[in-house]
Amino acid sequence: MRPELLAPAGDLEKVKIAFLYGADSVYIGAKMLSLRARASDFDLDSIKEAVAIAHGLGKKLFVTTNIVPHDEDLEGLDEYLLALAKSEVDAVICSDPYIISKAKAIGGLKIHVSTQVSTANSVLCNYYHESGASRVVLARELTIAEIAALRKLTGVELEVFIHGGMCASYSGRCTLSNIMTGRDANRGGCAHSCRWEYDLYKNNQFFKDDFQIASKDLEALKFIPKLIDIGVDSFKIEGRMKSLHYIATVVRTYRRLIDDHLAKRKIDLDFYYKELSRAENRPFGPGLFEGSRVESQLYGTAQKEPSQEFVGMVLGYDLEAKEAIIEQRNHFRPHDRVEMISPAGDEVTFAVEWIKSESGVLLDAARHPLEIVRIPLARPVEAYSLLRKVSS
Amino acid sequence: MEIVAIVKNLSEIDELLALGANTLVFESDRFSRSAVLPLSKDKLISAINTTKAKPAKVYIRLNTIIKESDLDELKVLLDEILEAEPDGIVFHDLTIGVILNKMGHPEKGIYQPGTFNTHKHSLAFLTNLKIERATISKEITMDKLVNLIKNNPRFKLSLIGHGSIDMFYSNRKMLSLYHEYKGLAYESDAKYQIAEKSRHTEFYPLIEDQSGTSIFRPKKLHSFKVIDTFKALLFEFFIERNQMTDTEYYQAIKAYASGDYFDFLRQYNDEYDDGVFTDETFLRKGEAK
Repeated sequence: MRPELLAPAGDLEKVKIAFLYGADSVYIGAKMLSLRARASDFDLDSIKEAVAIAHGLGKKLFVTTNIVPHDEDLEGLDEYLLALAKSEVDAVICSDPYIISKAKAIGGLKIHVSTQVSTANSVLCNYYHESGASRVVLARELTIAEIAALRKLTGVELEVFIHGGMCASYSGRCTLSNIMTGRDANRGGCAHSCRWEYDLYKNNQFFKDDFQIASKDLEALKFIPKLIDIGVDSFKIEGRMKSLHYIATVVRTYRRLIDDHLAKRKIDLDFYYKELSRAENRPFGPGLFEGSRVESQLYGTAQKEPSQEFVGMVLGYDLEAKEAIIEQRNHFRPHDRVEMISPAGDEVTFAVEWIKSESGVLLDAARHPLEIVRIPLARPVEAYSLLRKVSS
Repeated sequence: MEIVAIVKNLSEIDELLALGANTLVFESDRFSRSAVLPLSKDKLISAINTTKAKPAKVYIRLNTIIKESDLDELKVLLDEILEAEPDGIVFHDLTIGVILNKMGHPEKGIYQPGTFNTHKHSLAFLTNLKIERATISKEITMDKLVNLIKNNPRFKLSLIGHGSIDMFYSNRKMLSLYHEYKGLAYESDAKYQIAEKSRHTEFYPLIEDQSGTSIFRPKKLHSFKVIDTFKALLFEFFIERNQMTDTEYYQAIKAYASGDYFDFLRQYNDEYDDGVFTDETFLRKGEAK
């Protein structure tokens, strides 16, 4: 069975990038009812546009409606769900039973039960299935063995997180942010208090100055073959607030790994690890797939430098001049060594010979955000290819 | 409104009832987290029998997340303790509500999910499971709480209204893992707290057990200012036990039962606040409160 690769997107450009780099489906959140309200640019018009992009490519688009709502959050719920149904979104991702019941009543919307409710067993999977859900996003606390056992006992589609930031708490059960900052973690305001630095006290005495609650980001490369064999239906990447480069790199890496496994090609995990390291800026680990372990916890530094810096996105290629037209995303200059990755092809590494402005003036650097520049490139390159600087 | 108390010592049952507790809660050594008296299945059954013989009402609280690997043991536990006829099973994970329904005992279920019972429609789905008792979430303001209660007259509703309230529940064993990482011996009996590096005015207690790690609010919650409203609206009022001395706990029960709470606040006021009953927490980044 070929599992779905499900990617996040915080805006329409990221929707396109996620699909082009190999996602089968994309999930987005609008400002209403989304846990990443701050990350969302989506209103109903842009949701329709995202659906059109997805369906035009034969792919799917899901919309999150997975906050734990208070009374005032439910105002306009019926109209909103109806609009999503009319927009032909492929599913809504819900956690609140009332929102689930409303989505079911409206009809035309598939219901995915969010990881916010921490579904961790087949009894609850079957309950949600019988209640009208077509899919359950499993709790991130399950081991591979537990997922395998559960898979045999439920007919509902199963979605599993494979990459990205992890709540240190069971999802939906945390109010650290509420108590520490007044921002509601379960209504889109999470301040990530779990990622702060803490001192540890023991028996009312200062004990250690480097205690951390946070977990490393999840990275499930080595578990992918097993999860495919178990029969997991969908592999989910976290990160609606992540950059375009991150989404492209992570999606592309897992796409290759899944396809390589299904085609019975040789799997070289080191290759995929190196690929992910090009975009990842937080330490990653195995999550809880092998149980609660030291390797999953974040100790020491919370940040690391990605091995490569995203410097530009290809807008097009001038066949006559043999020049790539680039939208600048970070500073780069002539003679920098860069790598071009494209949705379909292999990466190509080269030194930038020169940089010209749109009007043809030679530049000593591409230094302005979103500035359009040209660089020489002998072979044509696809739009949405990404240019990243290779660290020296 | 009845007072629900957590039992920490089997020898204190009479005292808790004499102080004014109406219902006693016992916790499991397998499916209760941060339990003050984790009991094996046999001891739970014995505790149910002892309490019912007083006579008094008795609940069993099972508040871990139920994983696939827990199901067989959980079903055996429920099967056997239900034979002892406790007055309720307080549960955190909806799985237990589904199982109680399938076992033909939905009337025993009391849904206490911590964060999910937040609006006036939150409970409607429980009707399908024939569950009629639930605990309102801990982070909504008084006006929303009253609205929820008034819109759900067919439910018997409770609140955890006093004591140390958890704000974080992780499957990860954070204290023992940290000690392992540092190469230190972990003392499971020690009392652990964390403080933000930049704010050493608030200390958050941590408890690790077989189910993972819980982190608690820096101050304990009291409801004395609003107890008259609760008395008029709530079916039950839970008084939590963690982070409290036995004397403090007994005084709390007595204060709620008698309505005379001035001595309690005089003695313990610095350790308490009134939570979010009057303090909206909807704030999102960039929004004014």
